[in-house]
Formats: sequence, structure tokens, C-alpha cells
Amino acid sequence: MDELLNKKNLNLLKELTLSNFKLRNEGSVLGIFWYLLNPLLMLIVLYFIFSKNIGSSIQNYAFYVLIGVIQWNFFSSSTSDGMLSFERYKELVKKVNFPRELLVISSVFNIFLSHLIEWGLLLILLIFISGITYNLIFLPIILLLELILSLTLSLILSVAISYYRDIEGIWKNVLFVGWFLTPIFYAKEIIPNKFSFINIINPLTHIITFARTILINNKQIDLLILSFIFLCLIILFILSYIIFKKLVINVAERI
Amino acid sequence: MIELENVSKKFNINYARRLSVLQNIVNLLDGGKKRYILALKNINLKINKGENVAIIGPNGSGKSTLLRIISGILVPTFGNIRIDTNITSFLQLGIGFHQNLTAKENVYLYGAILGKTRSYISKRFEEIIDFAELRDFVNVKLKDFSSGMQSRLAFSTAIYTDPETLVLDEVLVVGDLEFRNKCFEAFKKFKNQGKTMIFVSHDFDLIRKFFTRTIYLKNGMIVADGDTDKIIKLYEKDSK
Repeated sequence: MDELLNKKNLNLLKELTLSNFKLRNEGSVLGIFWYLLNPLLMLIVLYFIFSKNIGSSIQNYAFYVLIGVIQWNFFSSSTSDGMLSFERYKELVKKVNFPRELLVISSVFNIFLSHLIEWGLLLILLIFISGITYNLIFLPIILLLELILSLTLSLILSVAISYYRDIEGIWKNVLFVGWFLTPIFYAKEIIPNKFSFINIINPLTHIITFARTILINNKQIDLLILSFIFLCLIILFILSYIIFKKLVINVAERI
Repeated sequence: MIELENVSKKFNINYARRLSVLQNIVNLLDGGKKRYILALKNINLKINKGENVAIIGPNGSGKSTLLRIISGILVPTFGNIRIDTNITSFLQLGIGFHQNLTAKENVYLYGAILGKTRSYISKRFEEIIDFAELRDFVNVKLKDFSSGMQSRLAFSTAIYTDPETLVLDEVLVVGDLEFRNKCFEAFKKFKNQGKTMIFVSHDFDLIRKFFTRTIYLKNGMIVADGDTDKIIKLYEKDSK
């Protein structure tokens, strides 16, 4: 892994990420407004439908939904984009030798940059409307968790799709189910006790809950749970990286 | 030094298309029949530092596969490969260029793909642009370039990344006469600097001029390997 983090590779990662970010935002008049348009639309729709029933018992329901939506959006777009990294850079993969994981990581980073803009705008809203506390210092750790989770899945998915085309369709459906099984617009207690394991095994549920705890409830995160989740994600990340490295050697002839 | 020992490359032609899970199961029930192409058979090859080697042969003889194995893009199915040099390969010029970025942005991106940092490219940027003769187009988007201009930019960036070992695959056929002369210029420079070059081409004039050793590949096997003039004569006789 230390081989990955040399100057040459970091430079390529930076160039790939920034040029893609530039290309993605080019020629758009509304600029960063686009990043908030989708979450805002979703917020409006969800608030309109649920604020009187599901959301009535939830403190600060609008921010509750907004935090869930932008974190879910990052997860869903970064893994969908990361999964197709080799597809998008087919020519490059077939003709140039360089660490392939850089393509996947740069896809995720590219989405992460716009996610940071979303967070920035959200924080500004929060400061003006409800105020924030020193618990904000946990936010970088939450962002790191989001990043590790997306990288882990993107690495596995990108290499798996070069073996089985179906992975793309499967992942779309997993995301569809995931949207409903993650407490984005409802309180996680709504899931019946019998199925409460869903909340426990869904890493995104934990990450979103952490964010809401510090930003809406203004409480400290339980450090024990936080470190446990962190450890689990790191282990999964390392595992996925090892599997990725094993399978990726044949990627040039498979895509 | 680059050393290949009994290298074979087998392509599973089923893999040419990514299969769905269902098709895989169907194939299994089918008795697991798989069709292979042996693109390279038992290649033994040693290229020393500073040698200039051309590879010739008819289409489909495995030239490109061999280059991709030497470049580390493909792994051999059988055999070993030992490499103790830094290889920069140009199997196609301008890979990774984006039409919506300017010439300048593309030079930095392409440089990064070839393993060079931003500060390294910055130092050579003026030379790159001068060699490509695109001084007036630095901040113009690539989509407004002719294909000749694009190849010039790619080639110029590539040669100024100062590669230790150069692997080229017929990338130079695209240019006009002027561009060809530029390539000659670059080849001469690399030769004088004692760099290792491995070159696939059908351009025998160019090969005779710069490459002392030639390898003749046919059906994935090395037919002959040795002095350029002799090997080219053999190939010409063979193709008649």
C-alpha cells in the first residue's frame, strides 16, 4: 500500500480528479447551485409527504432529511461512478500501465469534491438557522468514514464488473433497496425489532446517525461505537484492496 | 535489461466479451468448453540496456501483445518476465487526452499519466510547446485542434518525459512528412543518449536507419532475431 502513495501516483490522482471535476462542471451557468438542487428537491418532496406523519416526531425534520439525502447521494453516486471507472477509461487501461486503483479512487474523489460543496452549503444553512456546537469537530471523521465506505465498495465493484457485466444491474437494485432500508426520511426505530439487525449491519445508517447526532441533537457521538465502526470499515477496506489487487491484473484483457 | 523466458499468452476468447452470470452457467453445462487463442508461444527474448530493437511481422502475429506484456499491461499466461528498467510505452499517442481541456491542461494530464509530476512538466513546458509548434494554441481547447496537431502535442509531451526505456507501437504513422522528420530527430536523440528502444513498425526505412536489431514475429513465435538488414530481407522474401 505504501507503494501506492508515492509522489508519482499522488500526482496522477490529483490530475485525474481535478481534470474530471473541471470537465463535469464546465459550461454550467448555475455552477454549484446544481449540487444543492437535487437534495433540495428531494427535501421538498419528502418534507411535503412525510412531515405530518413519519417526520412529526423527529426533531428538526428538514435538516434531518437533508443530511440523510446528501450522504445517501454521495454514497450512491460515488459507488455507481467508481464501479464504471474502467469502462470510462477503457483506452487508458488497455494502453498504459499504471496502478489501476488510481482510476477508481479518482472517480470517488471527484464525487467527494462536490459532496464537500454540499456539506459546506448545508453547514452555512445550519449556522444561520439552528446554530452549531463544538461537536462539529467530529464532522471530518464522519466524512472520512463516508469516503472509506465508498472506496471499499467501488474497488470491489469496479473489478467485479470486469468479470460479470450483471454487477451493474445488481448494484442498481441494491441501491434501490438501500434507499428504503436506510433511515433517510424516517427514524431508524421505525424498523420492527425483529429486523433491527438491518440497522446494525448497514454502515450508512451509523454514519448518517453520527452526523445527525452532532448537528441536530448537538450531542457527542459515542466514541466506543465510532471507533468500532471505524475499525470495521478499515478492515473491510484493506480486504477489498487485497482482493482488488489480485483480480485487477487481468482487467486489460477483460474490458 | 528486459528478459522474457518461455513466455506464452493465451486469450480466452469468451473473455473478449464480459459474460453475464447466466451465460457462465450455460457455458458450464455445455461442458465448460472454452476456446483459446495462443497469441504468443514460448517467447524467449533478452534486450539489453541501450539496445534498439524493432519488431516486425504480419498483422496478427502477436507484435502488440508482446509490447503490452513488456509494458506490464498484460501478464503472461505461462513463463517469466524480468524487467529492471523504467518503461514508458506509447502504444497509442494522446491516450487520456480530453477534447474539452486546453492544450496546456492536456499536457499536464498526459504527463501525469506518463508518470511525471506537475513541477517536472512545468520546467519543460516551453520546450514541449515549441517542439509541437503550438505556441499560439496553448490555451485553446483540444477539440479545435486538427488530428495532426493533436498527435504533435502528444508526441512532444511523450518525448519530453525523458523515458528510460521506450516502447512504441506504430504510433508514428499518423503524421505528415514534417512530423516524421520530428520523429527522426527524437529517435536520433534517444539513440545518442543510449536509451533502450523497442519499436513495432512496418516502416522499413525508419527501422534500417535507427534499429540495429530486428525481431521477426509470425503466428506468435519468433521466426528470426538478429541483424536488421538480414531479418528484413528474410521477411520480404517470406511475404512474397
